[in-house]
Amino acid sequence: MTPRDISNLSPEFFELLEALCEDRLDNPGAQRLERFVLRNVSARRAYLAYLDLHGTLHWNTAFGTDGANFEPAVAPRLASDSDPMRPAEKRGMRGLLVLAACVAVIAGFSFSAGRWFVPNNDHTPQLASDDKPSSIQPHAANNAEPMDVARKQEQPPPSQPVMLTERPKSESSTGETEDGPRDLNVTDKPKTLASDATAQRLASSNTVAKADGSVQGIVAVINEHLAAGWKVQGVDPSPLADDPEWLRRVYLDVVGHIPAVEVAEKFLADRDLRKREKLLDTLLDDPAYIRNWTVVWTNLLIGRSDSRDVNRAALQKFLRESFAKNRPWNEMVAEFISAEGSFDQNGATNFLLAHLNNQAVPATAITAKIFLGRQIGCTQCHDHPFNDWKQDAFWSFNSFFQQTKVARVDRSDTTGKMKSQASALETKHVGGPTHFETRRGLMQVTYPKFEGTSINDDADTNRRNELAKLMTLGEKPLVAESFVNRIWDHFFGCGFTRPVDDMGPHNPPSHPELLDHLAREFVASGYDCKQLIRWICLSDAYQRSSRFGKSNEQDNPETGASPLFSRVYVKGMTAEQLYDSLLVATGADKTPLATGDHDRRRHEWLQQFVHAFQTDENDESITFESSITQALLMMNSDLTQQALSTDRGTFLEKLVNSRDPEAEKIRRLCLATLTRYPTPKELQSLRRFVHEGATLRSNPAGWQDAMWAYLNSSEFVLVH
Amino acid sequence: MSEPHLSESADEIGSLDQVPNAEFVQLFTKSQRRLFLFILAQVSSLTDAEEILQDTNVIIWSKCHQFQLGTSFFAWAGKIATYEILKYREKKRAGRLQFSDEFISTVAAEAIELNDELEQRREALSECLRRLKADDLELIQARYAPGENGLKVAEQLGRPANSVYQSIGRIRKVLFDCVTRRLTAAARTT
Repeated sequence: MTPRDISNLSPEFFELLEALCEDRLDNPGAQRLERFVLRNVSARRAYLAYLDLHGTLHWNTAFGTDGANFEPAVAPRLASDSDPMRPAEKRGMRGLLVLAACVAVIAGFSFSAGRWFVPNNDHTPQLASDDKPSSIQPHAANNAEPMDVARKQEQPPPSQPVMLTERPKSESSTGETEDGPRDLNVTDKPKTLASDATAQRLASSNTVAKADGSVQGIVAVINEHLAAGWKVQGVDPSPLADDPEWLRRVYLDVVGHIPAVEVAEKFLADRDLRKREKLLDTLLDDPAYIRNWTVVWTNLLIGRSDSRDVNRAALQKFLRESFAKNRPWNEMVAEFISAEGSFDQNGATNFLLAHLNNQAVPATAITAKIFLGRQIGCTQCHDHPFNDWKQDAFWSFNSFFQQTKVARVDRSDTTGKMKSQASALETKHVGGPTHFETRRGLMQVTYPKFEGTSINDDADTNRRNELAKLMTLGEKPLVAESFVNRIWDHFFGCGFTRPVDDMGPHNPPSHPELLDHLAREFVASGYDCKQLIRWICLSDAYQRSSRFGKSNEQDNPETGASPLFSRVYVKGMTAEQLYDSLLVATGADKTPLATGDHDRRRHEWLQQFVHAFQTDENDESITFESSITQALLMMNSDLTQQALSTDRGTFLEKLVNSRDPEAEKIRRLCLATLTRYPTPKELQSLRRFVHEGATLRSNPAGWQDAMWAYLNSSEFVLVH
Repeated sequence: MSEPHLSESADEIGSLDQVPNAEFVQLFTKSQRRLFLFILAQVSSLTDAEEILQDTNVIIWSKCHQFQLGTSFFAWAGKIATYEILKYREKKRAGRLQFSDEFISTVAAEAIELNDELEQRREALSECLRRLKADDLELIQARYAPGENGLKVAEQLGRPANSVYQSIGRIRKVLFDCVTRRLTAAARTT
């Protein structure tokens, strides 16, 4: 059985297997599974291998890994009463199986239930999958894969009226179309509104692609390539997103939080045909743009965890200054690769400092993954069957880092007393080859070489400086291509490759020509990050809704299909986006009680979700699951209380004390949390709800319940 | 030996006092896991498979004198297991019966065919487990602790059952893919 055999099997088959393993398979399911197994030899083998894995896990917990091979030293019957820790009895197994187990005990095997669980840190990247609920599709209620359904159920059960969180479903059950009325003001009469005219204009301008390097020209190329794909696949793209949907998405994607209620009101009321372009320009100049991308890249470069010996603040300062100046991306990469000095004075050193442990193996793998979009971790030990990098290439790349030394520098205060220590990157003047061992135990040597170009390996050549040059050279280096892919993924919820950082001949991109074109244009623009974002955000595809119809429901990369970008895929908010959006919606940080530095508070809050590993790629896992309850519960309690309090300065305080009519208040509440106006039905049920809360307890209680309900909806925690 | 289903087969058991020789014991113990997995492939339930293995063992033990050293122990024991599976399915026929006879015989034949690969996979599994993330390891450990299942684990963790099923399923798939990859990689490099 090869990975290819397995990837050809349908996800449903594996879901049936999972149900079988957990005793949850019903008779129709069993029949489906049977059909797979009887008709397809790969499925038959996968079935056997899967149950074998299931059974082995079960068996080995009770009898140890060596259960298959133990050697009895004594005749079994003599052993039957001698062992005090018979695990088999714990599980109610009797008779001769116990005898068999006892034999093994006597033979000196341990039966501790955790025997085969040998936790250590030797953790490889290909196993590092996470629970990020990226497959959640709020509008897929009718055609969701079972996986999606299960994911949906992972959302905390609403403690409040269901109609608030299940809105799309209840709408479709009343016979309205999928992109039916989202709110009273806008989509009820879309033809007359400027909003849609803007989108239409953006989408249809430039029917003939001009490859002139202008924003319009490049947007037109994107539009042409994607539309060609839709045509070939016979897919109708999703309708254009209305203003509220687009506004919320572009805010989250560009500046990392939802728009404030005042911003939304102003934008929705704006009749300017160019308002989307205008807003995008504003966002790119907003200080929150700098903050957002600093967060994104800090997480990529050194992770969220505090456990590594780095100066996070200095790295963030470096990133902030770079994004504020819109420094060319190739320059930033070169800085990270060639950085020298102490971690507080040169923030760029912190990237390598975080990964230079273990012979710079993590630094090698992570540099390739983050900056080149190449996963070469496995080639450290062996040639990879599906990867064009060979073991030799890994170590020639690693060779560039072999002159690098981590030094400790004492820092003293003005009186000359030693105060603290700082880490620093230094270059040792050594030359020569790098040694590595093949799987057959053969010692090999290799020299610094990147993409076929060797450099002088003497002691006086600064290898990292040379690497920085080589990596950022040419009309379309990997650095540019992988950056374009990553940013595209950031905005569309899916890159041209999946995973976004595993590019190469073994994993061809979905739109090779478009990726190639964008990478070249990105280089030609002088690696201008803001321009790249403009091209993407103004493309026709990014104006589309995340909702989908019959014609493009198969455009779902979650199922393994190649993305067509005929709709914008839904993503879960990151922990930082959720935290910041909560503050924007509730004003929890505006009360007199909320003191201290915002970034530091958020970082401390995040630490509860993060666990770092000292692995070959210094992975870390984040247990955060885009669930608002989790976020609120885990959020430090002062802030939680303030979020829904009516203390001076919060959103609720202003809402409750305003003299607006009730319907207007509800509209504002909905706009503040979900960036849209409520549907008539929603308005009605919410009114009842507010009244009940107010009668049962106090006036603010009804409003607090209503806000809590909105914040609990999956519509809030998703970027759609 | 007071279990009713054991005494049912008492007539075919013969003498339980017969003490098998050391080589037989060794073959017996060595084959236990493989037998268990062979049975599991056909009945799919861990508890049922354990019970059938137990019944099978009683028969194997009682017939130890019939086994000829030098022949395949597994082929011999596998026949006994197949017979026990048949009996179990007969008993279950009244109740819920998941898979057809055709399915069972196809799977049993394939299991024997595939044995070498499955054996290699079992070896590779321990390495893949070692490479799991600590959190994942903990969860899968909890799931396979004696007497546990996904539902009970969910209750203990206070997480929704579906989310735990989801996570356990993901980890199993990760392990499955890891094992497959390791085998493929090993096949290419050697």
